[in-house]
Amino acid sequence: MSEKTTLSEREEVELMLPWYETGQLTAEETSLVETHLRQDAELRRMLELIREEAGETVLANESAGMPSHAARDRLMAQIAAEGGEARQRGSLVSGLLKQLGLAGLSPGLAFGGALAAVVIIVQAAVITSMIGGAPTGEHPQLASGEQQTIQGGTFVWVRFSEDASAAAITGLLRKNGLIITDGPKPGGTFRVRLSDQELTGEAQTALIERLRGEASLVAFISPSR
Amino acid sequence: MSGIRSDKELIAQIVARDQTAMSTLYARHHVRLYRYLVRLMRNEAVAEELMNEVFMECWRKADSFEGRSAVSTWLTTIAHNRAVSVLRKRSDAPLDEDYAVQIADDEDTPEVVSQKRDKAEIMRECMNRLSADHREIIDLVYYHDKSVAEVAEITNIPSNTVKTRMFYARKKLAGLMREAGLDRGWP
Repeated sequence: MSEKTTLSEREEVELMLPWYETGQLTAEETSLVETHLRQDAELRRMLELIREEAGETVLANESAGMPSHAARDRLMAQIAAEGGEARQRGSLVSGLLKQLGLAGLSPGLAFGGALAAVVIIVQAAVITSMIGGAPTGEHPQLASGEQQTIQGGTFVWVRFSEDASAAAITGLLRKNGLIITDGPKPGGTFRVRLSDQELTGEAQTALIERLRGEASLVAFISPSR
Repeated sequence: MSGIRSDKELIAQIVARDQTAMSTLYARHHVRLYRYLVRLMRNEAVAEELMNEVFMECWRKADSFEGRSAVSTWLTTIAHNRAVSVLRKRSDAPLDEDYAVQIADDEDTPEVVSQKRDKAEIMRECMNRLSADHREIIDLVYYHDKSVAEVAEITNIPSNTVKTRMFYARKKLAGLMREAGLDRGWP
């Protein structure tokens, strides 16, 4: 039984040797491999073969050449062409991050972990200023009364249609008494307070369905706890 | 003053539509991405095109990067998916194994080959005869320095499969080298 266990561990070590050579094992794995290498000549020979393979692989890759400058020029031209179109959406994302004191982080990085507990009201006016906002990258400051912490109520995740104008989104929020409390999450989704009451069942479904009916403005909506 | 920006900081700036950050990220990663693709696709023009598609996807979907892995791993994952998609559509392209046989048939006898070329050259030639899966994993481990977990993420296979695929890729390489007249004594 113990012989089988030892064999299995040796096989595992043999499988790990390429990553030992490239320094990609954990300290514990490295220690295990080195213990076996000290007492197993066949494994040491295997490691020599792996070193040869690794060296030749590096040479083969380095002789694979470089992409042309034209490829870079094509890419940058395409990005420049799309940059103008995307700037408004980008300024919304980066502007909101800046307002929340999270500039420099991508949405995916910014809204994880502890920050999930922080609920901040971002008024519709912010959406207006961000979407219509200055392409120079400057973003208007929130008035002090526009930001406060809230708790309780019924929440949903909403992604607004990319074609929706700032005025239309503001109108939708105002008409339905909605408040954006968090976001944008990766994919451009916002957490929105539907009601200050904790709605369930049909009442919640009815409100969600009403917003889902605004298909030109709401691309996605789903309950959020 | 601002110092060198990390890859993750560049991604955050790309989310904010910073084209200079995109240019910096490209300068940092384009050579390795291109080499990964050209060795997988065996075609420089296709590799260049796919590489640009990878960077465009990065530009368009930078906000989907969640920071759990290195940016280079994320980019290579996108490259892998695009390459696999193209390889699957290449119904007219020869299978890798067939390709290997064609090359082998065109070669001199193993004895002549071993006399004419050195061991390193033969090994590199045999690497080129491996299947796409085997070539890819050897490159990812030995050249791109990817860990087991990173290779698993890029190729979308379990970690244990990564280890065994690498083992069988090496075994196949040893077999091809033996056929070419170079017996390394393993397996």
